[in-house]
Amino acid sequence: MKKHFSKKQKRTLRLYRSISVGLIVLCMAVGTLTGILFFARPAASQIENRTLASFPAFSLGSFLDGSWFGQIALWYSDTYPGRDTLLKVQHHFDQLKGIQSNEMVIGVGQADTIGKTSSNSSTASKAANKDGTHNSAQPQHDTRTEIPDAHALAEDIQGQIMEGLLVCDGAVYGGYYFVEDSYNTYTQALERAAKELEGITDVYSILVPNNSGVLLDQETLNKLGGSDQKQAIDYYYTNYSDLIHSVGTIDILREHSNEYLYYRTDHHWTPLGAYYVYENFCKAKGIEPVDRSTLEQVHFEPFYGSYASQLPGVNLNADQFDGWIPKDTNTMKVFTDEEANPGSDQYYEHAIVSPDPNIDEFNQYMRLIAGDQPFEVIDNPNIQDGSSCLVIKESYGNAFVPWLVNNYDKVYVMDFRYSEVPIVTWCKEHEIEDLILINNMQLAASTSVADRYDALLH
Amino acid sequence: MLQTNILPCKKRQGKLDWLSTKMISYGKERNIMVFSSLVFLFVFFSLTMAVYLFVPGRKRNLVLLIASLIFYGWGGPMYLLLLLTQTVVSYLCALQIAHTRNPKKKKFWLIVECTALLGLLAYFKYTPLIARTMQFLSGFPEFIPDIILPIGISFYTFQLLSYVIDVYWGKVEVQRKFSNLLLYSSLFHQCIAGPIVRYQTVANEIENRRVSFSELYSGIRRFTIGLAKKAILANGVAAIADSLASTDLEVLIQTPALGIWLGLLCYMLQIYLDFSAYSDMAIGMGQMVGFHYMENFNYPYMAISVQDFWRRWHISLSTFFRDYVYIPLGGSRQSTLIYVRNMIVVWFLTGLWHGASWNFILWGFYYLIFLLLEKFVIRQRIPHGWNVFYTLSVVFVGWILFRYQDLTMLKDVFAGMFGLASNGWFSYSVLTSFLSNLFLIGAAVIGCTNLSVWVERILARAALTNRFCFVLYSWEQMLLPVVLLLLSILALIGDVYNPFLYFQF
Repeated sequence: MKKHFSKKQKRTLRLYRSISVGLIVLCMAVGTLTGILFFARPAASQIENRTLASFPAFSLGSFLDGSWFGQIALWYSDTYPGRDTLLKVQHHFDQLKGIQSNEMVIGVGQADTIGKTSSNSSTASKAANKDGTHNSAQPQHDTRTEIPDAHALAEDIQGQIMEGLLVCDGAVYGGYYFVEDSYNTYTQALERAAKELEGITDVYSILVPNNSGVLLDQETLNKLGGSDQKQAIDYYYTNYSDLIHSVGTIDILREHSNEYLYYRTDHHWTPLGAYYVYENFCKAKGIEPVDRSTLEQVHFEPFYGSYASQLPGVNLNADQFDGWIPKDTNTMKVFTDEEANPGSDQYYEHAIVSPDPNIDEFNQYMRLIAGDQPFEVIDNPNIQDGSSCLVIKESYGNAFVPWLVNNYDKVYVMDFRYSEVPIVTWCKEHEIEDLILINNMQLAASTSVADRYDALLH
Repeated sequence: MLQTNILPCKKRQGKLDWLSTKMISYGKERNIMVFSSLVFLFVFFSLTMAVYLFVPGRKRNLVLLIASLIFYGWGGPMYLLLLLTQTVVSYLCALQIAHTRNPKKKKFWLIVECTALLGLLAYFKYTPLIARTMQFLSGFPEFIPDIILPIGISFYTFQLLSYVIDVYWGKVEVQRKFSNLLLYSSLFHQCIAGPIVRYQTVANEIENRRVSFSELYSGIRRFTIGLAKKAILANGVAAIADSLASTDLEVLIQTPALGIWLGLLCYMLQIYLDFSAYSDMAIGMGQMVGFHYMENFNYPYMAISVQDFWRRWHISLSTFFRDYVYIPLGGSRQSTLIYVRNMIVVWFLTGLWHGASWNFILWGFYYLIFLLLEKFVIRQRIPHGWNVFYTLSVVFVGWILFRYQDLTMLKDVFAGMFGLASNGWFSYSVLTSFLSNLFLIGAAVIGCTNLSVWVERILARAALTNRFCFVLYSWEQMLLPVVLLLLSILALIGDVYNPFLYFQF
């Protein structure tokens, strides 16, 4: 039996190994040269929808403790030329890690039990009074103070952005986890604000469920785990005092659940979903909603939203964007300073619902009120009755605001994440008629958001 | 908890969204230039090798030394002082030992060496543990000192100790050139994560080494295998481990029992793949420039007993304790009592070396118990086949002790593993997690065995006589390193999760 390669075989093997070494050297050389193409380094990642790391500023302290070098390494890999393209390739390989089923749950959240501390008779009586307080003939939510179920999820991907998601038939559904502390802070902050504004400004609270609460059946929701959004919204609303007008959301959305209310690849709702809640808002306020069929509609596709960025290895069905341009104006002022001073000259004009064909497939939701901005002002030239509202919102509010333009003389919009304006004081100073606080339920459940409200409202 | 789901729909214009700052988690608590990073591959390593290959032979050590100091300084230039101090002390002590014939003086300088190096190690690594323990027992001190553990101190301290002790024992010649000793202690291949290279292993190669083509190829191949092991397999299973076997108690107790089992299995895979990958890369890089480091792992998860496991796991550490602690204490050729004492010392030190926390000491004693049981009770009575299962079971539980530094969490972990934490046994998300990573986990399991080596050996044997097999073998030899490198680079591009467990030592 032959025990060694022949000389010819050895020569062949050496040749193949030499080629291997040559290819490795080539790969390393290409990688190194690509790395020094500083002009080709991207500043933002489209598929991750985020700004990439910037080169760190030098300081002696960060140099000595090594953090400066660590930040250079982060910058180097984060802004490596062609990163997005390579990431796309990587995501294709990621699918080979296992069996990618049509339905999967990713991530975990932790839910408190809704109502574990605060159910009492007084809240029940408050709930009973709501009918008379609101302009609406019927309460837009069920009164509920009992403790609902909370399903625990079983997975947490540490430090990742995929938390409590269900992927099903090419669409992603976000989970919801009730957090008692957030609930307390959030509702107390609103209560204090409403009390201070009593007789000056009406306070409206709009809590919007995410897509899972509206579109999924109970059996599928159980797979996702977390807390029941309807129970949670009802719990928030029921425990508000009479000073806060709650606007029904989940029931009306469920009634229209066969329509395109939420995106499949994005964590937001659509302008159509927002329209139905806007109708409810009008009902609560006692005004006529605009007939959307009379408005100019814009349509763009495809749209790959935030979930597509978060779950790059998952096959999702592309979305489309449909928006409705307000009837009287499609122009607003975007104020970029944190002072939120409408008299400031630090603003630029932007479309309320942008028909710009250059907005890319990842940022279609940014067509609405220029995305998240500290402060915006919309002046309706055809309404001069002095009516005004201040909308405090995060990105869910972006789909809602364009509808309000049809009903108010002035619509002020503040993104509480970027603004430092004391809201109550500002409302008093500007004699705002309605203060509308609109939040996605996931956000309302965040302690940091609740704390932020607590700080900003006063 | 939920903030990370809140993605703003705003194109960022230099202003970070305060709600989404957790979007990137690099998993690196310290600023270490890990081998499995783009900056290492495409800046540090490629430039170092390019300069190394183009300078004359006599300048190559200088290139390696400068590169190593830069590499170490990357984690914090101030810690270079510590490395330099330890090397200077070891250099002087070894010279003193070599220059004197007086045994007492020799011993004196050995004690100076051991006291200085172990003192520094104790100060930087064990002061917080000592203070915490004293505080627990007596309430004093009021404050626990916050001392940052210098990177790789456990590794280079032991390397320098082995050098001076070997000089003392007359096993190696003293190194008269300080730069050569500094190169030995700081060499970036093994300085911060092992293997613990004995001076005698590389003594000749520091000054005289040659690299043949086959060694260069072999080194590259070994490096790419290690890189892929780390970037693809270890990082992949690490993400599962951290999600299902969380060290956050609140998350853990909501994880179904089967999820915890899966998470811990992945942790078991991760810790081997991670560490052995780093050793592979170190050995590979050494080979590329003519150094031959000892093997650090020999498929430990195929061991047939706990004793066998420790002959295969972190071999450079086990042999260090064997040669410098266990045997000097008398080894096994003593009375049973002395033998047990020696074992207690060795396993206390083994546990302590792995970390300044009582769970590591418990982990050491846990193995001591099984080693003593195997020696005096079990012997070799476990049937073939079952012995692997027995060993893996012991090791599996061992890694649980290793993972959870908070001992009070252990009871919750074990309760959770058996569904006793109101967490249930199963959930849909666990099934999803398992299925969507099935092939990755399978590959990781295979990566822990010698199957690939076995297949390659069979192919090489068949290639001797079969033309088709020879062609296949040749292509495998050519393409495997390239494919592994490219796949690893792809895996590192996202680079959101790249932890390395053994840096804490």
